Amino acid sequence: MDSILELKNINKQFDDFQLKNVSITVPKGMIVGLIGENGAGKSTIINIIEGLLKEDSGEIYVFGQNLREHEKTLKQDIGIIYDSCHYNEKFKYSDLGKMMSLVYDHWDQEKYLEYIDRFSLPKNKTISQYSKGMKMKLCFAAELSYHPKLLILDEATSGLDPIVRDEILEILQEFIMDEEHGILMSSHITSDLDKIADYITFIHNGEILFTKTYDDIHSQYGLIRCGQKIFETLPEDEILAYKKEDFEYKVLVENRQDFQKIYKDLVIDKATIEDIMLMYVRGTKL
Amino acid sequence: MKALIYKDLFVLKQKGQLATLILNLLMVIPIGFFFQNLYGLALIIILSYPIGGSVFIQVVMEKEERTNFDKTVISLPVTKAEIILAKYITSFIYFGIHMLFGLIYTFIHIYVIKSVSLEFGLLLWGIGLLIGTMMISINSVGYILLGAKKGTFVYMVILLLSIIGYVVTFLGFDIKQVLTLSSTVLMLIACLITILCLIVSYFTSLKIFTRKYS
Repeated sequence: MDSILELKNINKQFDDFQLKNVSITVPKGMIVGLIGENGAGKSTIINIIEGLLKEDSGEIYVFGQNLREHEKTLKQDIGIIYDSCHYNEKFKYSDLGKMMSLVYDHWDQEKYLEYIDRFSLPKNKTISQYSKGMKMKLCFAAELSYHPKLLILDEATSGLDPIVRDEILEILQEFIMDEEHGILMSSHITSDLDKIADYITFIHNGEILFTKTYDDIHSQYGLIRCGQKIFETLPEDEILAYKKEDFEYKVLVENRQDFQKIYKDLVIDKATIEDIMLMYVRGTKL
Repeated sequence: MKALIYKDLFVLKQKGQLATLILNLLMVIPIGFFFQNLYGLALIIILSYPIGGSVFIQVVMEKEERTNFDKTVISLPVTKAEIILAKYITSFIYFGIHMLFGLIYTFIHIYVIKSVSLEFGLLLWGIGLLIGTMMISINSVGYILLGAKKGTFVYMVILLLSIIGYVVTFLGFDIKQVLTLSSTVLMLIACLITILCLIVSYFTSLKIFTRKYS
């Protein structure tokens, strides 16, 4: 499968944090969701791709080319959207369009105006007069109007109301429809990833714990809720993590269907991405 | 890089900033009216305009810091060298506007007020150019290293030193005598030092900027 973005064994050492051998692949036509708690290393990875930080070791390939060797050219096809808008607050949409047209070779003014209309962004207001949702929509309009092939979102949907989020998720789905584009999306809002992610990469304490397809996660992972007696009978090596609560044990397992065959009376729910994240981070590992 | 220059110069379209620029440029009118002599000319073209014209990077960086624009600028398809070069170019455009007005003011002193000769007026204007260039060189490193707020202290120190320099030079000595002694040689040396400072300043700024993002 062709990849649009490939991170190979990226390491970055800070005083109090370390990114360890991070490898991530974004295949063509796919959305890869990057999940992890605050401080797990999600933004550090994105900052390294962007160039705000430099990796100590490892390699980054975009469209098969080394990013560090062809940074300027490759960035023509990469769009990055953060959780807030970083443009001059006194810009109007037209000023931003003018600026972007001067830097991107494939800037499409018609497309930009289409997005401005589609998002119903006021044309006579400055960015400072926009609401948070409008600002983010403007960022999306600007980033999508130079036809990037790779889109990187760093908590871009956080702080937005469900209506705007839904609108943006719809656009992201349109973006990958032609199978030539890819998205790396870091988000705390796991329900967004539930809706659109094809792959989930889970990072914890600077290390990738797993990368799986959303379908695998959905079909394999299970969350058992049981009492202490049943918990003690569960095979330890099959338990990924557990959490003791007031009246029950919550147990995360990877082979839900096998468990269900053996423990027929046990209630095993499909684990959501949020369940998996919470159990890995806050649960106890055996 | 054109996009960054556009973004920086956009600041001038903002209300307060344009007014500041116009006020700064028009201060020659009262000064020219009250000081119709060499010192009035020098006050504008080797002190006021070079200092006022070299401060643009502070204004731009303050606005960038407010919106955390650094994050976006790094994601654009421009090199770090281009980012720094764009800052210097916009600084020089702003400074150039000042010095263009300074040149007109110099010609008024030469041909209307007749306080100085053509040669001497242009020499003073040239000194103003060099001082402004030096100011941009030092300020840029200060602002890129320390940011808009702390970098202002560097600017204030230079400003203070420049004022002291002006007072001592023009009120303490016969400047005409000093400058005509070997003005060509002095200017050549000053030019070389200024250009050297500018080159060192650019590479130092680039080094600081690159280290900041590594």
